[in-house]
Amino acid sequence: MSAAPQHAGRGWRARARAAPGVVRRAWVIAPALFALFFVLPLLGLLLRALTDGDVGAELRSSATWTALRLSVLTATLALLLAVLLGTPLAFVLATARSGWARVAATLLDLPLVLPPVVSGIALLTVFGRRGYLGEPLDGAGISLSFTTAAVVMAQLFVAGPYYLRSAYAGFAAADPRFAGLAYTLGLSPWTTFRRVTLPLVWPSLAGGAVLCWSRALGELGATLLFAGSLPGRTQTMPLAIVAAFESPAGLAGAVSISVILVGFALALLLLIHRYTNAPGAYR
Amino acid sequence: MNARVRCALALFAAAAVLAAGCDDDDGAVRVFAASSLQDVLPAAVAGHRTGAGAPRLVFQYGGSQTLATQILEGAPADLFLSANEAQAERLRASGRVARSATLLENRLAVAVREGSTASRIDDLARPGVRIAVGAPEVPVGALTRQLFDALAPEVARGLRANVVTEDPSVRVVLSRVELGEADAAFVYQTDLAAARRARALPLPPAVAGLANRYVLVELRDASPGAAALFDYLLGAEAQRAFAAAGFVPAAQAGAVPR
Repeated sequence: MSAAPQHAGRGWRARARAAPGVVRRAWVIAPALFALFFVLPLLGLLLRALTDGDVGAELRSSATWTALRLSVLTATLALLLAVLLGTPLAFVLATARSGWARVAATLLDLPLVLPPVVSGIALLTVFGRRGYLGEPLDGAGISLSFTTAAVVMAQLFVAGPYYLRSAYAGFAAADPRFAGLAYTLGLSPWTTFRRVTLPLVWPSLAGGAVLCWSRALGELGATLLFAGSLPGRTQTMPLAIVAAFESPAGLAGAVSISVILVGFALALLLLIHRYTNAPGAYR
Repeated sequence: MNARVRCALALFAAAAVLAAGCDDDDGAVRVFAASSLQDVLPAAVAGHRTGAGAPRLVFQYGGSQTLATQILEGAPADLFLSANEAQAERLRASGRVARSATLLENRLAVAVREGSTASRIDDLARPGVRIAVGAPEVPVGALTRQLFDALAPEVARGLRANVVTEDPSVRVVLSRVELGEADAAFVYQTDLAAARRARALPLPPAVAGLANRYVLVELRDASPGAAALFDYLLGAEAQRAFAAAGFVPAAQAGAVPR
């Protein structure tokens, strides 16, 4: 994504290009200032961690690594489930002609609106020990709350819609005539999907996957309510950060762990962007 | 700039001014109080002088750690009601404290979910029982670990093995029992008094006096009405309201319960 418009358009775009130098520079500076709005707080966090906190001590602490490992494991599992189960769902919803499909697609956006703590309560009403499905399951000796599986479920519920939404938009925007043409040329439906549709929507899927994984990694409220917070089993990095905030070291400790989480996510996202041509990547 | 853009900018500026205006609390006494006081504090200060000329009281509730951090970061506060001594000590070390006093005590209690057959703490040490406690970093969690340490080693071992969650706030700990997710929760007496779908499990006499001490802090350069409120909160009327909510009044702090 470059800051300056790439195409000479009509109207305001053309006028912006024809404007004197000062205005044209403002056209770049204003977006750059907006970008700083996101970057500066992250730099502030880093600076605070380096001055007040002890990032080195947190990096050497096995508790931090336990939480980080659990976070990466659960967020990745949540993403895998979102991709495996969400891609067909998004495809069906985007290509179905029924008006119900559109209603369903809207309903699936709703977890994005819910405060995560409410999402956690909602999960408990169904899968909790006293929940509609959880109670019979509990009777059968299967209990979900306070397990690592519950962490994955909470993350999937909160972060999955980001993937669904993005995949849905991709499938909806893909021109069905390409697939139709391939199909009439004799490709099987599966080959058509794999060779024609998938390359068309790949950018949307990859972008949605990055959003979903990142959101799952940062998930806090739903996880706390539904899965609890026990080191090694359900305490993910965000929960460890909240616990650290309550410790005597307080802010300093919380900031130090936060920087490790942000740094790790940054490294991984850069790697992903480097090795995929996801248009979600800023090049 | 056309008229529409100008209109939008004017609206935006107006919104910004309104938002800034919300901070305008001239003369008000700003009370930062631990979340556990949220239900009782309005009743406790109800008898404080009101009417013309009396300062307005503005309450902000939160975890003591969070509030202390906010105050240290420059948040405007006149009184701070900390749920533990450590956070008051943090402010003292920074030189922000004008005076402080023990406000009250909150004793540790065990809530068991309705339908549970447990009658003694030993019953909670059996395999398969689910126990919710506070994280070691939060006061109720630290107190719970003190209690575990004071029990017979085999009971303590069983209890520790049964812990399914270490929550960052006592309200969350209590919710585990209210929602039926956990069988028992280690909370404060006052939480138990307000709990739904839960009952108290008596503690052995040796550990029944374990309590958390709340500290009342008047900050330096507090607004003029703060001193009177400080004294009122330690007075008989406010202390009676605290006792009614399940707290131990300052006068009986440190005593072993009957």
